[in-house]
Amino acid sequence: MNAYWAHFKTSFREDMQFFFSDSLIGSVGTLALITIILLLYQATHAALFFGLYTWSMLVWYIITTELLIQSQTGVVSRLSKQIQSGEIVSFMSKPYHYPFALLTKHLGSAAVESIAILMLAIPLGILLAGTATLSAGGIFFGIIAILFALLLDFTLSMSIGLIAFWTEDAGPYRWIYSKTLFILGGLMFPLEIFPSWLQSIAKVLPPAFMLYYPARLVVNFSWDLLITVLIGQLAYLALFSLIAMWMYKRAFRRVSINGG
Amino acid sequence: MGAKHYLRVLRAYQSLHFKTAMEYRINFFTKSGFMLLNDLMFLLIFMFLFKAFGTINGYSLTYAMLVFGITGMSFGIIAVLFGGRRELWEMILEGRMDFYLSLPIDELFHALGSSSAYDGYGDILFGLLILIFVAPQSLPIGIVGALIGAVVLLSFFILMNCSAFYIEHPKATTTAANDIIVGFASWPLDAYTTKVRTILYLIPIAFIGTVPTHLIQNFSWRELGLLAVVAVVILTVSILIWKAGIKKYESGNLVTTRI
Repeated sequence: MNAYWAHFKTSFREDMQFFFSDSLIGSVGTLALITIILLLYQATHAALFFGLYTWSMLVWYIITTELLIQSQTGVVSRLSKQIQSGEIVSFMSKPYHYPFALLTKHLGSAAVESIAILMLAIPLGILLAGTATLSAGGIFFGIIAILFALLLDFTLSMSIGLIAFWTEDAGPYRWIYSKTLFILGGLMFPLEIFPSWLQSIAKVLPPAFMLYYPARLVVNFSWDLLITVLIGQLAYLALFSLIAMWMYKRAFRRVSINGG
Repeated sequence: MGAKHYLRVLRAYQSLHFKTAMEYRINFFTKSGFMLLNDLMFLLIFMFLFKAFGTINGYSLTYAMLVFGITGMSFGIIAVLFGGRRELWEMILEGRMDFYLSLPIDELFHALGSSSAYDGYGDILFGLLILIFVAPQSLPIGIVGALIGAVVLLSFFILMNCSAFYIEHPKATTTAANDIIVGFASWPLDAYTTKVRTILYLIPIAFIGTVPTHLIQNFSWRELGLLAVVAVVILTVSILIWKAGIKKYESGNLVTTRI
């Protein structure tokens, strides 16, 4: 356990070293993306999402989904590069379980990214929409749902990254994964924009539990919603963890066969 | 060395890149095919938005598709012809420019053209498909617009990479700049307020996707001329900044093999 905590701390400290020059400047891009989406919504002048979302809810919804998507700091590309260069073999042979070490490193980086994004996005949100929509329960349980969403993303990203053992480059699969998240997760718009048949399908799929539901919890907290979100997230987390571990075991065998 | 010579070098590199792509054709088709699929999925986002809102500030889905298609095609052209732009800042930072500086050909042109990104073919095909389905009568204008837009885009990429001469951690700056350019260029400017639009014309991100789309919808020689002038001016500025920056370059004294 100490080894994994050390991985988290090292990764966090490493990224904090360049907090202002890397993370904070990088977050300006995220801020621009949030602004672009909100400018588009401002231009529609439509009754925002059929009366389901107020302007304030929409602003904080978009900030939360962007925070989630931008905090996913490149697990696929990191794994893909390590596999291509053969560097992964040295990590796999270390006296710790590599997937957990990768996860704790990932969480360390994600924490720094989140801090940087929030430092810019919170003032923007307050400026554009105030804080009337936010509640203590929504923020507290929203953070828990965000954490589970990051774990869920990690298990999926790891499975996708491991594809590089068979295809050399997992990049193209990541593009499709991220676009599926954009659309079915509700990155740029709440899922209520879909026709009702598609809405009911999208709301039970994993992307919704990674973006839509955590953001909805933040802007419109209720106990019923919290229970739905946590049950869905834990069920998918169990399923995708099993898939990721199964793929890792197969990949591990492949390394042994090739002699490393 | 004249323009003819540079074109010959570019052609030779392209032929080499294509032969490499065909050697690893599964990788080539996966990357280009998945990029096409990636763009088509993004198009779905547009479709859902417009289905819900009808029009946004008076512009239609067709118009938004054209802006997105032209911008995608410009990105694709740069990825295929000047794929080196993705790692230029890393080469500067790690002192790996020596090889390019020691040859008689311009180091910037050479470093940009010496690699090609296969996913760019997917973007080009996507742009062509949009033009064929949405504005088939304006296909030549669309292609010319995308080519000039690509020059504007390339200039932005050169400027972004120049940051490596002046700051210690250029990765974040280039990533943020990339997000801003992609984000604003992919949507029609008409969606924004007058202030934002004015800024985007001055920067000039508007000349990547929106102005070429104006040309497709309502062609005028004046606007085409303006687009060409802007492209030449921003390219010249970016090259001048590069030339000033390269004087600060420090070699990494690395011994590398180029295969």
